[in-house]
Amino acid sequence: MSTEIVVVPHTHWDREWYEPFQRFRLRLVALLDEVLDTMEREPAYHFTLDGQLACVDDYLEVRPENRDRVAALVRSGRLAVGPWQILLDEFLCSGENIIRNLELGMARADRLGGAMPVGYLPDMFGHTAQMPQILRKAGLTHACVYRGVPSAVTTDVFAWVAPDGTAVRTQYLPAGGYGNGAYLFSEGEGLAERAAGFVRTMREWHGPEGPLLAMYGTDHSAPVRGLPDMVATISARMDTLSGYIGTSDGEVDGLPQVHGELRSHARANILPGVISIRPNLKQAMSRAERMVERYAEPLATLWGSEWPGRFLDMAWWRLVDASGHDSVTGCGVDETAQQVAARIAEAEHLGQAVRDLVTSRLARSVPSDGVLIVNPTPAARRGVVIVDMPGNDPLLDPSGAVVPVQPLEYAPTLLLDEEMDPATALTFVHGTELYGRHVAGLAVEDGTLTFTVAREPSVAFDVNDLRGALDGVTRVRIVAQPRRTVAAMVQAPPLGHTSLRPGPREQVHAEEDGVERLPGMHDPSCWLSSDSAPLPVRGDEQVLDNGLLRVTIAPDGTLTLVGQDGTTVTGAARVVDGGDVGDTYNYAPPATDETVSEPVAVEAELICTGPLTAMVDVRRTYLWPASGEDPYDTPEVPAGTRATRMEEITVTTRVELRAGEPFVRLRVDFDNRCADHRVRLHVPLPQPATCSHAEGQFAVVTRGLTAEGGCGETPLPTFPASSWVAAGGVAALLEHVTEYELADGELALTLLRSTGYLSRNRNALRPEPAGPSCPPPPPSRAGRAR
Amino acid sequence: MPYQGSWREVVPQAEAFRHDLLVVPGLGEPYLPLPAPEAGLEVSGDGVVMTSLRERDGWQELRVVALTLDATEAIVTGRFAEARHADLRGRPGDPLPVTDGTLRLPLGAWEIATVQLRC
Repeated sequence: MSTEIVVVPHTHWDREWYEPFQRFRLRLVALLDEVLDTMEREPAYHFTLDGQLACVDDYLEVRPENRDRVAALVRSGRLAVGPWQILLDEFLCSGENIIRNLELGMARADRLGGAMPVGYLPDMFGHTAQMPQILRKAGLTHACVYRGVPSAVTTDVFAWVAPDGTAVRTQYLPAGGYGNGAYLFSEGEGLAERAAGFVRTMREWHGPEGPLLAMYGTDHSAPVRGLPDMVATISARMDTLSGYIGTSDGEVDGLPQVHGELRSHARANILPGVISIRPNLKQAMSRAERMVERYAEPLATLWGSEWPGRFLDMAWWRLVDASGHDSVTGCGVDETAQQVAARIAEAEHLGQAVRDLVTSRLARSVPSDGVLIVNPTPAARRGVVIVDMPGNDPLLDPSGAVVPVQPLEYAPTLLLDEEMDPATALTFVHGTELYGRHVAGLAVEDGTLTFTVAREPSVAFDVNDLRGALDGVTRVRIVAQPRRTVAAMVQAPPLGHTSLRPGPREQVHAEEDGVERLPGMHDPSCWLSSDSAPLPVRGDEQVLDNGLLRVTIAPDGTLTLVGQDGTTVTGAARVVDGGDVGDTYNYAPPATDETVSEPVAVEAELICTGPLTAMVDVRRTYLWPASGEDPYDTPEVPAGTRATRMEEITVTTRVELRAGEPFVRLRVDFDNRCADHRVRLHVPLPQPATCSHAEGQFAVVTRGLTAEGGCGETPLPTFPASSWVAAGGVAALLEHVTEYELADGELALTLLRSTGYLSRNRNALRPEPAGPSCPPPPPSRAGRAR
Repeated sequence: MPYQGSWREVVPQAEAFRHDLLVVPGLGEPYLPLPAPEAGLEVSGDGVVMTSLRERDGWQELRVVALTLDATEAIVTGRFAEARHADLRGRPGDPLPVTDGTLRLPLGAWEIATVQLRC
């Protein structure tokens, strides 16, 4: 029996977590200073830098003079860097973000001498189904994982197979994960015994032949001095992870196969509560990813003049950074969450800037009283847009056809009406600009100076010409040209553009039957212009109907949805509040939980009635327990019950149905003033279901009603979904990654978890801490939830 | 969204729900006529979803995924005359046939495919 051990010294570098980035970086710099010195001094020394280039970047930003030293060690094969830019959370970013992460990391590693050819995924909280295909198509034939591996795996190597059939040879890190050899050299005495014990343990997984992988390192750790001598003492050798794994060519024949995503709790915690904690980060991330992926890049590709590559690189860099497995997950301290949020916001702003650069170029061909409509979808779209238009004339498309519209709002026209010295008013004018608009006309009459302002300048105006004509003026008025906000139904070509503008009412209706129409009134003939035009939507306080979907609002504020095919969902959008005395990693109900789902008051307010969009605001008022009831007067011990003190919380749900859409849009908004609780939106299934289908990261994953347990963490069947989840005849379309559970014939979507701790030492659903026990300050426990 | 049958009905609705049409105020002279509508790139095919479109080295790089249980075909139409495969790092592969500005790209079930297009 071979007893050879391959020791892979490494560190697992959580870039930001229970301390913010810069504070961790200070430690990183000290660690890598020492690693470089040691590696240059001891030629046998190898080091694996956690599979992420971010460690190198963060170090070289402080020590740029050491770039050549790093590159020399990478080229020598003793220092393994990359292939990722950052060790991500695979479920809380888009599939495209995963690819850009790999692309960025590998390209930058190549400039230092080459990336480690292993898809190293040591600490992610589970793995997405398509990862094998992503790795293969980026040129990587090996993966290395720890969490999420099912109990069916009994060896330290398996073939991980993506839904398309692509497989990668996968090194599993059992019996200690990425720190399975961390204890080997921790003390001087007993090294041989510890090595023998290690071999016994790992042979159970590896079999009788071949070298055994000892990952020597753990979170933020530095290797001990004199390591090469100690390694030699136990007849082991030192290598990088790729040096160990690279002895195999990536062949998968004969290996046990594991298909699809890895989200089993059998071997390690996968900490599923990170999907639903700090939902503001998840919302922002998805919004920013969409802005960059689906607006900025495609529009710049097709309609831009010069490729704004640097701006987009900067956007991607931030999105990739934010995807870190302790970043967008929200399981860090508030300082970390704030930095992540700022980084995501910058990515979105960069995407918006590129989008605006391109669309403003297109908009220069559209008259100033019109609007450009851009379709981000690579298929022709008909849909409702909200536009701001001057006047009350009908809207025309480029063919001259009248576009169906629905007035929503009229902008105020009176901006100022005050007794004042006109000289003061003149100081408000800058060129032609006045109150954010442009002077379009002025009049002096009966001691009143009246400015008319518009969005665009239309007259030559010099404030100095006015100064001599203000005798006797004591009053100043500023009046804006009438503008209105309307919903309009437009048809737009694939990834292309169209436009609208107002047309003279007399001209548009010249050939019609003389029926008098009020300004802005919908012209019903518009619906008849095409056989394929969608039917109008009609709504009142109780029923919204567009011919494809009928939505009835029940007295308790829930919804009954009836599809065109008769599929009926009854009691949808029920809000359920329950206790959560867990932490950012794991939901945990109090020992005696109390859920609240019945509102104490319900009111519905009709916002608009159609024909393009119908909206009702449903306001449900609940009495939710203010917090957990702390029996020992210490927050260290999780509350066993919920408090008897109640907070009155009003949950406003904007229910919107648009013409032509077979789904109802919901926006849920409340001011969360409670702690230690979880709020979910429940949707009963029209038909029984034994599985759910959830989209995310290039896949639609079918999941059952349970999850596999085994490691100690309670295997809650709560799962992530990116853009939609469907089960039993009803689907929830999502704006951002959302946690869901299929239970008791209902689909429950988590809106919010408001817990007190980063990690609790005692969590009822997880036997051991997942991190330091840091109680966050109040702002992370409360706030506006949308 | 109620549905009857397969989750495949949900895919195009999610695309519309998540990607609003964009409205931009006109910036041209008021006397201009409205410009004619223009299409950019059309991507169709059963279960085919576009995930990325960007410029790379003078080519338009398009990524799609087949959200299907069976093989399908992506039909890509636009102002291009050349096409080639690429890997996920953008490294070019074999050329692909283009006929009258249309690329017909066979896709296996759940395949992620990257192609590069050029006029």
